[in-house]
Amino acid sequence: MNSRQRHFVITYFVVGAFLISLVWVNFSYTAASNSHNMPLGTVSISDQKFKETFAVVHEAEAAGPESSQIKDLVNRLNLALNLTDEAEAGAILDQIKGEASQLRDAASLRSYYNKVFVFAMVPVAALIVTVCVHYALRRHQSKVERMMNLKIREKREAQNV
Amino acid sequence: MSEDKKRAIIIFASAFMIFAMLAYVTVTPLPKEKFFQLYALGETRKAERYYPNNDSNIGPDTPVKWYLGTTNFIGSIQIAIIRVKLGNQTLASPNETQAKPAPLPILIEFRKVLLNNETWEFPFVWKITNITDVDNLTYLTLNIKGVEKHIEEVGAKDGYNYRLIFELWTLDVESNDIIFGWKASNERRAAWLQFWFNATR
Repeated sequence: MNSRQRHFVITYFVVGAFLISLVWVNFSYTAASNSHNMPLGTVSISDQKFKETFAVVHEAEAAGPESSQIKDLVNRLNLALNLTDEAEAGAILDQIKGEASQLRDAASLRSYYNKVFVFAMVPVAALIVTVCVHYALRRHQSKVERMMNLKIREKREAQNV
Repeated sequence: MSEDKKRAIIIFASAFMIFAMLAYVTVTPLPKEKFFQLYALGETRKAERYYPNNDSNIGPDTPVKWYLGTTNFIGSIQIAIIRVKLGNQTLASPNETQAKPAPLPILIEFRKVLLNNETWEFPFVWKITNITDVDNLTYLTLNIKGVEKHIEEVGAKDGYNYRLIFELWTLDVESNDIIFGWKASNERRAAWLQFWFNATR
């Protein structure tokens, strides 16, 4: 590995590490803001439970899971909202809260990996473009040099005649 | 530094900036206008025939059918609450600019959790079941979706100029409060509808 290549590799790793650290800081902030406890108003226990469950489903949706998974949770939330049996509604809300919490964690992890992958691809793509352009230019340059080094010679056939 | 090296660094830096911008655009959702739509349709489910025989003078036991609907364009799941209130000509209307609801009693409310871009439409059937007079004012007993309610807080002279008000409320996830209207980019917005009618005997 010559010094030029070594410089390329070092630059690539430094920039890559910088980007990954940026993504990490951003993700940590998002995770922290999602998990903080929200102040609750003076509502009845069932309403408070509903609000808490809704907040978790809302966070799960923001983390970016499949739309069908959120649709299922919302359908069950509406079912709980319309139930007259408070105990049954409470049980459904507990179940939804647990599932939404798992969904939020899984989706936010997947979303984080997607972000890391996308940003990690930036220096890779830039490096590929650099190498391609560099070799294309060198090839073009060598062609030009070859052309410039051409010498005028007499045709041998003409000499023979 | 050789010319080759300089050129390579410039190309790398330019390509890096372009790809970084593309990556940022890819992972950042586009900002969209956040709002709710609230509407009411007549008994034919069109914007017509809001009153029986197109007459806003409603007598006792005359059923009136409307379709109420709301669409969530907030960009995330929302709880939509439609509160129905009875008003008259003198009591205040909801204030959109200050996001203040009408200071009127709630007759009934309808709630549903809506997905983003989801429309919720349902029939709203009501009728006047009783008209009483107290001190030159007329008071109504309404039957809304089978639930009977006497409204003693709102009276009208000779039964004229009553109005049914529909307000859209939502659950604000930041404050965890139920608010009139909704929050869009730290701005409060509100939507409400009203139908005027006269109670006749």
